[in-house]
Amino acid sequence: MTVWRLEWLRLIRTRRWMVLAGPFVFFGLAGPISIHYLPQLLASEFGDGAIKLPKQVPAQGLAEYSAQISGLGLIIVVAVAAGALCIDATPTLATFYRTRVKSIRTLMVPRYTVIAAAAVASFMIGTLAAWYETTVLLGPVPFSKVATATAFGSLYLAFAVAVVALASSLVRSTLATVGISLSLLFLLPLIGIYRPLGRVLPSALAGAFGSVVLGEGPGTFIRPALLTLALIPLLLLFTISRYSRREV
Amino acid sequence: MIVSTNALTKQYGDRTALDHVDLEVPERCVYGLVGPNGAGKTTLLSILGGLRQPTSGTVNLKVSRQRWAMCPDAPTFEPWLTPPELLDLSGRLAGHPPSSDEVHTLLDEAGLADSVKRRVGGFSRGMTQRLAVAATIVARPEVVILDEPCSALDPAGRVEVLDLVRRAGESSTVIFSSHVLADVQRVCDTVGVLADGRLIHQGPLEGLLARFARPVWTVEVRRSAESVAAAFTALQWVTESVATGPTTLRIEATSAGAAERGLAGALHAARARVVSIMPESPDLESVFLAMTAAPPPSERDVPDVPARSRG
Repeated sequence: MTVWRLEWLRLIRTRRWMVLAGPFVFFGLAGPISIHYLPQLLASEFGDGAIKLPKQVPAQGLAEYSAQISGLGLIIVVAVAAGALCIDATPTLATFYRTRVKSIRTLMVPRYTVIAAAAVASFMIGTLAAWYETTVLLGPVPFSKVATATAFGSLYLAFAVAVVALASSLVRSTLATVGISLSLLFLLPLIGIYRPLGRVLPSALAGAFGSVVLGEGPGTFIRPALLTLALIPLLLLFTISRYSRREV
Repeated sequence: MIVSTNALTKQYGDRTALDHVDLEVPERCVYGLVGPNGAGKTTLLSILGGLRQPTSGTVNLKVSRQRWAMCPDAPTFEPWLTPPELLDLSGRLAGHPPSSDEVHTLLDEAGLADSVKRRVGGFSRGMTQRLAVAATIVARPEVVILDEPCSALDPAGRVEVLDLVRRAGESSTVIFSSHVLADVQRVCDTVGVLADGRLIHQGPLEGLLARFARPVWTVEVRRSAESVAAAFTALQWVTESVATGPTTLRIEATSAGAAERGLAGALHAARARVVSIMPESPDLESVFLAMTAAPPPSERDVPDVPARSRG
């Protein structure tokens, strides 16, 4: 039983994978359907021709998935990640792990990697579902756009999980970790209102998926992506350092 | 000494949990740490285990911290693991992956052989505690720290865990805290007594028991213990003589030697028909109560009665 297998079992046996993947798949299927049937829905509510919609483009199906999942999906990822990353939430369990490993890194790296990978995989599965449904109902969307958009979205989720790891080193309880993580993640876009910062902060990646599939070039998101890539290991290093100094 | 501390002090705000503790744990001993609630046992063990930092003082370890394993007083594990998975994980984390045979032997010794397929989340507290001791030992550490390992166990479970502790003591140094002094007396060869954060005594258990032993005999006679007890009160070497039942009396002497010389003659003079004479063996509980209630007797008061051997 390696630490990696332990984390895999944590994901499978606690049904965390279902909690993660379920909403992504649901919204992946529901997003394009709601766009496809939007004219009929409006007509049945307000009458034919009462509301005129602009001509639909296929990418709107994927953009709708992104809009629906960006808030709820992030909250679910944060909550599930906190459950796995709060090593000291139960002191007696922390004693078991901490008195056996050389460094807290032995525990933190697999926990972060597995939960981040699961979040990214869930997002990708949801995206595949949304892409399939969009293609069937609304029309094709180029693979390159979907792949680029998915890469940015995945990077943001990996960053969100790193923020959860950091929060778990600041407080002990899972609930407090969720609260701090969401505060930090929702605070970043507010800082991003100041445009020079907003263009480079990781929060710029939160809306990258919708923007890219709707036609915005990936160049806009290169700088925040590079900063995010640099920040993730830094956050993890800081987290490990905080855990190493913390008493149980 | 495999582990020693020097003036180890731990403060939580204004409260002093440990006050200049100089612990000395000999290699390959089973060290029993006893003390009342709040004496600082868990704090001391947590500092030794590297889970907490002392406010001042030092901890000197002869072996790397990686060769230590600690079992807390109310252990918890991932509820979705099975006992063999947990033991395998424990060993691997510590760098000693156990074989399947080792895992199953340990589970058998812990009385969990019938529960290998169950998940540990469904275990009773006693089962979890036995599993925790097994998960500590499986890592083959050089120093094992067990904080109240018998606190939630029924008599049968206690015997199993004490056997595990005793076996661990054959290959490792064990530091073991317990409220149940009979357990400490049963498995430990060295004891430390903590009270109010201070280490008021440490040393071999035999020496401690001998130091606090009182020269007391229980005598059983065929009849009329009261009249025999009355005859003893007149003797100079007797400090107390009480009939504890119709046929039993308790005699406390000024010294073991005086009693050994005079007891048989005094019984003969009292025309007592003697059934049995038993020296009263000191136990850790009475010693502990005596130590925490009053200062220990000075060396000149040390009686020459032998300490009871441990069972």
